[in-house]
Amino acid sequence: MTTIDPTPWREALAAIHDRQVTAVLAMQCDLGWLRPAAAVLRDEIDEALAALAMGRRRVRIDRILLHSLPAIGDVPPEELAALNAAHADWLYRLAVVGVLLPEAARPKVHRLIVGGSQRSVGAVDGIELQLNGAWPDPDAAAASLGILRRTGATTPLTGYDIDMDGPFGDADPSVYL
Amino acid sequence: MSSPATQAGGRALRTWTRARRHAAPAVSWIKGITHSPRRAALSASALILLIVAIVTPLSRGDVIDSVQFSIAFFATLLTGEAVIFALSFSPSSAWPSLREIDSHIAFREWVVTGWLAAMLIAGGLLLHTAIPSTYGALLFLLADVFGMFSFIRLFGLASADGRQRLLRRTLTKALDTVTTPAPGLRRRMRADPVLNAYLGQFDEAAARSDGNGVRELAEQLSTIRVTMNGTATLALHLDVTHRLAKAALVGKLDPVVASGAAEVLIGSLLTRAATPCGTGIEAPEAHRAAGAMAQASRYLAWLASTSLTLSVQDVTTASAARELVAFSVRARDEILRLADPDPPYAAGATDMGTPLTDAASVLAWIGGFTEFHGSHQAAGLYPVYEILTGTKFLGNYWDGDSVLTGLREALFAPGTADGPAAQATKKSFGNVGEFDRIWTLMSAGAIASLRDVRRAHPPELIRPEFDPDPQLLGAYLRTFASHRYFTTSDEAMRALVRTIGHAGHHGDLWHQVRAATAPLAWSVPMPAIEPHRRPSACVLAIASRLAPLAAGEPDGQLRAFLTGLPPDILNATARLAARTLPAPDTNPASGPADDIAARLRVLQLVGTHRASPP
Repeated sequence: MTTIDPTPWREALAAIHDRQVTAVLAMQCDLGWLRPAAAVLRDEIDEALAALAMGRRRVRIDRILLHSLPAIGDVPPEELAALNAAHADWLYRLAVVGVLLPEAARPKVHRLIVGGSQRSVGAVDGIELQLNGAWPDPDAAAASLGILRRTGATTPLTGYDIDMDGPFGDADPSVYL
Repeated sequence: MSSPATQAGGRALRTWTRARRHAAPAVSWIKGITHSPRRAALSASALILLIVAIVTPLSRGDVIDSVQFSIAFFATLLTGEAVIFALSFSPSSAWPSLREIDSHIAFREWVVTGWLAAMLIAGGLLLHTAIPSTYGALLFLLADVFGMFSFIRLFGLASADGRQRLLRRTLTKALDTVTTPAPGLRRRMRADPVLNAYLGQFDEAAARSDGNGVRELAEQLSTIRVTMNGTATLALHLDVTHRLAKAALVGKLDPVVASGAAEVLIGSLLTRAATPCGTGIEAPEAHRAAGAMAQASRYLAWLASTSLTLSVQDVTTASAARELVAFSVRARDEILRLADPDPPYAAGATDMGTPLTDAASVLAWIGGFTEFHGSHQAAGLYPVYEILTGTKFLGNYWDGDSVLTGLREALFAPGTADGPAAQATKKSFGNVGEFDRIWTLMSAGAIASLRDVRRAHPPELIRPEFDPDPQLLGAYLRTFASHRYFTTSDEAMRALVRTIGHAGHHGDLWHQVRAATAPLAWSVPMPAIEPHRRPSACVLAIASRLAPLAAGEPDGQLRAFLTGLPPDILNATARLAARTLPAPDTNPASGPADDIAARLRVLQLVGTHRASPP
């Protein structure tokens, strides 16, 4: 089981509001993000990036997340169900938050497509900050940018299928009879 | 091609499997000896008689003489049982089924004992061997003794009381069997033949509008052993309550019978799940009580709302809807009294105290209590304040006082939270941000499920705190809207994003709250919906916290917040506001933001009667 080191993430989050930062690129495709141990850090990142998007300064935010879980056969069914639920809930929350923000400011969430039998996504997680239009560590950013540039590698997360009104039963509870 | 040896092996295995299957009842009976005193007595007696037969075998003449009498008595008992059975039980009845009756009167045991005795006697006489025939004659005596026992037990069942006792015992046993482990309880309950037979009988009685049958069945469930208070028992209470309500709403069941039986069941549910003990209740017990109270509260609120809807649509009669609405309001009032550690008009010491002893249990209950526009929901905030702070709230929501603002200050303002209850609550929330987030989530659930104000509310369905009065609706909404932790549109947007985007972690207070209500969530027809799955309600919950509470206050920040939202979510929020909040008399609304702001003026109706202090 992978343990996510929060230190580089928190250091980057502390710096994202610097005026020099012109873009943020975050890759979070490890299954560890879906486990309870990473929940606090995941929320911190989501909230920090949403706050950046809501700020007055325009900063391009690209995030790469899993589209679906890779083939993992060595986890018990309950754990797999919990991972799937956490993944679905995370994507739902990101989609709704995206819909609440003006289109120009929305973080762009790219879902990395994983083959049905693929056991690993082969990508290294991390967050990179672009300063004044240039990536301080081009090699680190190159892998993520390569994924974004590869046609068909990702699919965007949109809010088109979110029911803004909530479940129909709220409007007419008698449907539950 | 398989070899002959393999084929033979396969055949042997199949034969062994078949033999095991056929012998399964006997094996199961033998295994049950250690658990059943009756089986143990039968087995011990048979063993003793075998020893007697071996030690002192009887002559052929003595065996024949003895058997003539015992077989005659055996036949008499058999005939007697058949007559009682034919007169007392319907062969098609599943409740009690033949299996339950048999296990109660030991019918098969004594018939099998008699059959075995007859075989041994016949074999012994044919083969001229004394021991088997002697043993058979003695076994016949034992069969007669057991037959008499069976006859008396059957007579007991012929009366209504006796049958009730059997059914209660059968139900108790079935609930005992399915209740553990917690995972898969719903599946086990659905598959259990006894519970299915009980529910089938219930539905049948309700469909026939058999008031006595329905009352009897509800009585059986409510009077099963008082120690039976596991999740399965509580779930069955809620399930049967719903079947009653449904039969009255869309079936032919007399609504008075339905509401009477449902009231008995809700009373039984609360007694089993929640006893107001004051102190010393462990967290798991408090959470279980909260789960039952929350699900019952939201179910009752839903029932009142649905009764109104179906009555207006002419699906159900006004009398049935009125009876169920009245039942809902009464039962919710009882739940409120149970939650309140110091309820008004307490009848005695038994009314004092509360089963809700920690923050998670209190929040779990109030979350359910405020869903579906439930009656007395604003009053529910008083016990919440008292339990969480250890002191009473000195104010009146009807005058516009804010319990939540008072609670926030009592817990998080500098120099407060000095009592043990307040300190424990503060620790449970962790920080004021969590306090604000959790109450915003609560309010989203309450706002999303408010009744449709565009639907008529017939006068016959008006009950205390179940009426279309905009001032009451304003008071309910204001209990949440007066919880103001931001003042600008930018802050409101951040609060909205946090309300929806923050998932939290296992073990935080919100997860504890959801976990407390989860075990019984499936036993009511309305699904438990996470507030963030109701985006428009989250927006309205935030917007209401910016809306002016008094006429003349500026609403610029509210409008800035609303107009800053993308059109899709703004329109959805406007649709929700149009459904749940009344339109003001003068509504020059020119767009969705204007319309929402105008409808939120319902908050200003509260406290308008307040007299100036002397």
